[in-house]
Amino acid sequence: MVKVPPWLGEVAQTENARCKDMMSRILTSLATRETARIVDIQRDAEGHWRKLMALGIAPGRIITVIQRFPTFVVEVGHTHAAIDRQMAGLILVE
Amino acid sequence: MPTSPVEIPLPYSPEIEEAIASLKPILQGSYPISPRALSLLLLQGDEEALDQVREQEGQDAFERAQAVRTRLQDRLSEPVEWHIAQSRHQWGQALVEGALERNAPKKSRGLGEWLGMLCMNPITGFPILALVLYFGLYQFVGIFGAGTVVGLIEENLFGEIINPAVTAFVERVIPWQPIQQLLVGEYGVWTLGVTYAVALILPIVTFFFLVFAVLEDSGYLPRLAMLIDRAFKALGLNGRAVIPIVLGFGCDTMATVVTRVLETKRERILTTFLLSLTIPCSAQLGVVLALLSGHPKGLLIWTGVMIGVFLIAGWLAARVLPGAPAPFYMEIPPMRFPNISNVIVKTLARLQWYFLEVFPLFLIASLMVWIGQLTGLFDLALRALQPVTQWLALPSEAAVAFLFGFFRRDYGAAGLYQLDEQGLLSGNQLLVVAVVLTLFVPCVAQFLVTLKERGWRMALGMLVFTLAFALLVGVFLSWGLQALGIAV
Repeated sequence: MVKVPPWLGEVAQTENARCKDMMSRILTSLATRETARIVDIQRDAEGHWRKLMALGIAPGRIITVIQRFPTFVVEVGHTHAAIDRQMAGLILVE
Repeated sequence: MPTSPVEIPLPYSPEIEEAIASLKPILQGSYPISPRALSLLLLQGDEEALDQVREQEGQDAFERAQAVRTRLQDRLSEPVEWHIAQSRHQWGQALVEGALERNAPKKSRGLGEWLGMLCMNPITGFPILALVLYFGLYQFVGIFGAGTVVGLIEENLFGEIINPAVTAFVERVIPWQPIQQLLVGEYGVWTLGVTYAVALILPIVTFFFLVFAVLEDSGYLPRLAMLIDRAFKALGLNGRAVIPIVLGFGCDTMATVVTRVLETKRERILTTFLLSLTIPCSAQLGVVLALLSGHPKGLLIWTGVMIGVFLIAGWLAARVLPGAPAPFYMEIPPMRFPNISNVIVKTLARLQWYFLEVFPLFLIASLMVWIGQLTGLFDLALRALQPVTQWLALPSEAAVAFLFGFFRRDYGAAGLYQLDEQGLLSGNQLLVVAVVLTLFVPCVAQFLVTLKERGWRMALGMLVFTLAFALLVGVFLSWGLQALGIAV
C-alpha cells in the first residue's frame, strides 16, 4: 500500500489508484540507497514537473535515493539533485 | 574550439512535425532563431515567442498560430511541452549511450564526495555550518579583516600618515574655513567619506567577497540550501533563498537584486523584507564584531537577538502574506576545490561593483552633512533624535550614528566605532546600539534597489516598519538588560 502524503490531495489519490494497477509507487516510498526506474512524472497543474525534467529526472531513467532527510537527494545519471518531498511525490517509479 | 554548427535532426512525433509544418507559412518575419526552433517555442506556449510573433506577423497570423497549437493539443494525450521534453530526453539519452564509455565504477569515494556527504547530513552538516560561520565570517572577516587589516590601514596608514598630510596641505592651500571643513573637517569628504570608504569598508567587503567566492565555487551553497530548506519553509521560503540571504551578509543591496533567482513574487517580498530588517551586511557585521569583540557576552546576546528576530519576523511575515512556499529543487554539483584565479576574478568584479555603488554615496553623505552643519539642519536633526537616544539609555552622541545610519548602515556603525574609541559607551549601551543599528532602516542604496525591485509602496512600508521595529527591540532590550541586572 502506498502512503499518500496529505498535501498531494485528490490528484494523488487517483494517481495512487493508477500506480497500484501498474505496480509502480511514489519515489518517497523508496528507502535510502534504493534504486528504481522512473515510469512517470505526474503532471501537476503548477508545472513543477517541467523543473524535474530539466534536471534530467524523466521517465525511463534510473534513479537512486541518496538521502531522505532533511530533503530528498537523488542521483540520476551523473547528476545529483536535491528535491523536497512535494517534488519527490511527483515521481513514480517501479 | 569553435566549429561551424552541424545541424542534427531531432525528429518529434508526427503530430508535432505536422504542426511545425503548418506554422511555417505563417512565420514570415525575421527572427533571431530558426523557424523550426521558433515553432517549437510557439507550440510550447512560450510567452516571449508569442509576443514576438504577434508583433511581427500581426494579430490575424498570431491567432492562426494559436489555433495550430490548440489543434495539436487536442490530438495529444498529454501537454505539448511534455511530448517535446520526452522526445528530447530520449534523443539525448540515445546520443549519450552511443558516445559514452563507462569505466568500472570507483569503489573508494574521493575526499570531495566524502566532504559533500558530510555537508548534507544534518548531524554533521550543522556543525560544519557553525565552523564555516566561525572561521569564515567571524575569524577571517571579523577579527582579521575588520580588526587587524582595518587597524593597519585606517589607524596607522590613514590616521597617522595620510590624513595629517592631507589636512595640513588643505589648510595651507585653502584659507577659507567652511571649505576646509568640507574637505578635511570632522565629517569632511576626505576625512570621513574617502577614509571610511577606502580604509574601513573596502577591506571588510573584500574579505567577505573572498569567502563568498570560495563557498560559491566549492559547491557548498547548494548543500547548505538543501540542509536549511525545511527550516526556511516555516518562513514561507525554501532552500533556494539561502543564496540571497548569505550574500546579504556581504552586501544587502546586491542581495536584494539577487532575490530575482527566487521563483514567486511572495518569496521575493519575504526575502527582501528579511534582508532589510535582519541581515547585517559585511561592513556592518565587521564593525559590530569589532565593537563587541571586548564583550563576548554582548556578542552572544546580539547573535541571539538577530536569530530570534529573523525567525519571528520571518514566521509572522509568512503568516501575513498569503500563499504557500514554492517547492524546492536544486542541482547539487560535486564538491570541488575552488580555482584560485576564478575566486580572485569574481572578488574583483564584485568589489568593482561595490565600490562604484558605494563610493559616490559616501561623498554625497559627507556633502549633505556639511550642508546640514552650515545651515544648522544637522543640529536640528540631532536634537530631534535626542528622545530616541534617551529611550534607549544612550549618550546623546549616539544620535550621530543613527543619523549616519540613514545614509548607509555601515556608515552609522562606523560612527559608533569612533564613539567607542573615545570610551563614551558602556558594554550594555554598545550592545543596544549594535542591535538597533543592525535592524535599523536599510542604507540609501538598499532602499533605492528595494524601491526599484518591489515598488514604492512595499519599499516605504518596509522602511517605516523596520524603523519602528528596530527602536522597539532596542527599548525592550535596554529595559530587559536593566531589569535582569545583566552587564556585558
